[in-house]
Amino acid sequence: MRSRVQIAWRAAMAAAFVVCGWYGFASGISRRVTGNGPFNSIDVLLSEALHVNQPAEKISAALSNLKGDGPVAILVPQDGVYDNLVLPEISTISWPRQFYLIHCRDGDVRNELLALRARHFAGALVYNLHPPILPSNVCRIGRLTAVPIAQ
Amino acid sequence: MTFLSILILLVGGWGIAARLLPAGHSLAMRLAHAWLLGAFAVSLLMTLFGGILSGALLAGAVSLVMLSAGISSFRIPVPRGLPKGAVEWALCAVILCECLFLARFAQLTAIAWDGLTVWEIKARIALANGGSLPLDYFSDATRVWSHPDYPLMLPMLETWIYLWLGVADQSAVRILFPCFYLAAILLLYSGVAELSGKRWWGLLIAALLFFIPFFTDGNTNAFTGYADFPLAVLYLAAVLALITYLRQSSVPSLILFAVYAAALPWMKREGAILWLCLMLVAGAGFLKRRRLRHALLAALPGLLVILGWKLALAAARTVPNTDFLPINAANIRHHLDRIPIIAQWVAREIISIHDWSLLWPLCAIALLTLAIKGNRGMSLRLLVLIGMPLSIYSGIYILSSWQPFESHVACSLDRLVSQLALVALLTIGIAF
Repeated sequence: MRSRVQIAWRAAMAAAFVVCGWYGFASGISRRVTGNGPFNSIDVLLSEALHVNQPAEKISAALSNLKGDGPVAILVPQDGVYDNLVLPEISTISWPRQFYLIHCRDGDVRNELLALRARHFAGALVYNLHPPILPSNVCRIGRLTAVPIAQ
Repeated sequence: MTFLSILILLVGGWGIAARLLPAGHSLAMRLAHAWLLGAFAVSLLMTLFGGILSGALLAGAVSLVMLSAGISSFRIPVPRGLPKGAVEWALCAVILCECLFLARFAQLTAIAWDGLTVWEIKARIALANGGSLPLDYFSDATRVWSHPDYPLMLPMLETWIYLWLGVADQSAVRILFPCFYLAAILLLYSGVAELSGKRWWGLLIAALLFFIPFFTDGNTNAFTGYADFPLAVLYLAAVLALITYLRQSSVPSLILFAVYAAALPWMKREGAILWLCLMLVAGAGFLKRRRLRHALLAALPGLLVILGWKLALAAARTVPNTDFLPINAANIRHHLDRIPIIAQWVAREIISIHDWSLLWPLCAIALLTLAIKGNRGMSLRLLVLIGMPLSIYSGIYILSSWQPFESHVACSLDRLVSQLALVALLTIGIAF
């Protein structure tokens, strides 16, 4: 008798656990990879910020075209939503190059680029900013614009 | 190549497990320990050999040691028979279905934030440096957000796979996380079946793991590349090894316990807190049995890992972590008003069905049941092993330097609680 009560209690407990667990499940995978590329996870995060497909590979290619091994600045708007997340995501795939985050306004981009050239930066990644003028040799990757600085 | 690297890890772990597991252990237990011990051994060997070897030589040397360990004691344990009766078969079928579902789920789940920017980044950098992290990384002020001071078990495992592939491939490295999940299922099953004497109950508890939404469905679920779930599995293995030692007092079970306890601070910084809690509980046992030598043997590997890593970080001039204020009386006194807010957050988290189903309420009932049944020693040990880390984890937010500190609690408390969840499920399995 005692054994049956014990089994019934265990079964009831497990059933309650299953029902509550089922209730707790959300709609499924929050961030889903597409494809089997070597950057497929970082692409999920970067795509959200840059609104472009396979951004990691494109950024890697753009960075490999920069001359010299100097640091790169990421210019972001002063109050953007994704701004603080963009730097670690890009920096993750770009060792050993160093990255610095600079907050600025659309109108200040040109002056910032001039200042970076004086500080021997290799390039800049302009994120979600819309400067009136940019050099002609830029590479656009969704909301990101890669600007070579070193000559 | 990915499967070959996993196979070598398993072969080595299989051999180490054969030496440390008690006689008559099950195939499920051996498999789980083969994975966990193999993972710990590979990560340690990669770190140690990485100082003098690189590239193919490093992969070759680690493989040689692992294969030697595996082949020198390659025995397959005698299976204890197939499941008996309809209930056991049905539960096996349920677990199989869960595993198939989760295998697909894991295949589609992306490595998430910390998985990439704290753990995988280290593997990527190590690969570029031939398999070990360059000293420049530890002092790189522009990558301080990647926590260079965090331990290397997971990054070195990822580097192991990358070295075999010859390229950093985020789709290949995700195979690690389902392996930890499978190890958790096997440990829960074998542990509960052995301690309760009922195989169907072990199967049922293992099947319930799937219904903890945080691990299967959460934003930082077991497959998103975070170190919290692997740490939870190692903690479960350490607690089971401790229970085995306290029942048998054998030296191999003591070594197994010491090894798992040492693996905890090598997986994540909070592992040092879990190690301390385990040593306190084990210390009471050693004191009762007057086994000073056993106490030293249990503590030594963990101390070596903790102090060795501290020394290595200091030697590499690692940029210090700024998430917490220095521990001193003035800082604690100044932030004591945070305690009620933290307590509210913890209470809310623990009763969250959305994250944990009924895990924590049932765990509390299980601890009470154990005490009422007359097994006060076990009840007290499990209470300390769950309650003490939870209290320390919560208390540490008093010194959080985040502004507001609630954002720190919000983004990490659930993961800290998750590190104790498997032991809570084990407690339910032992008590009822």
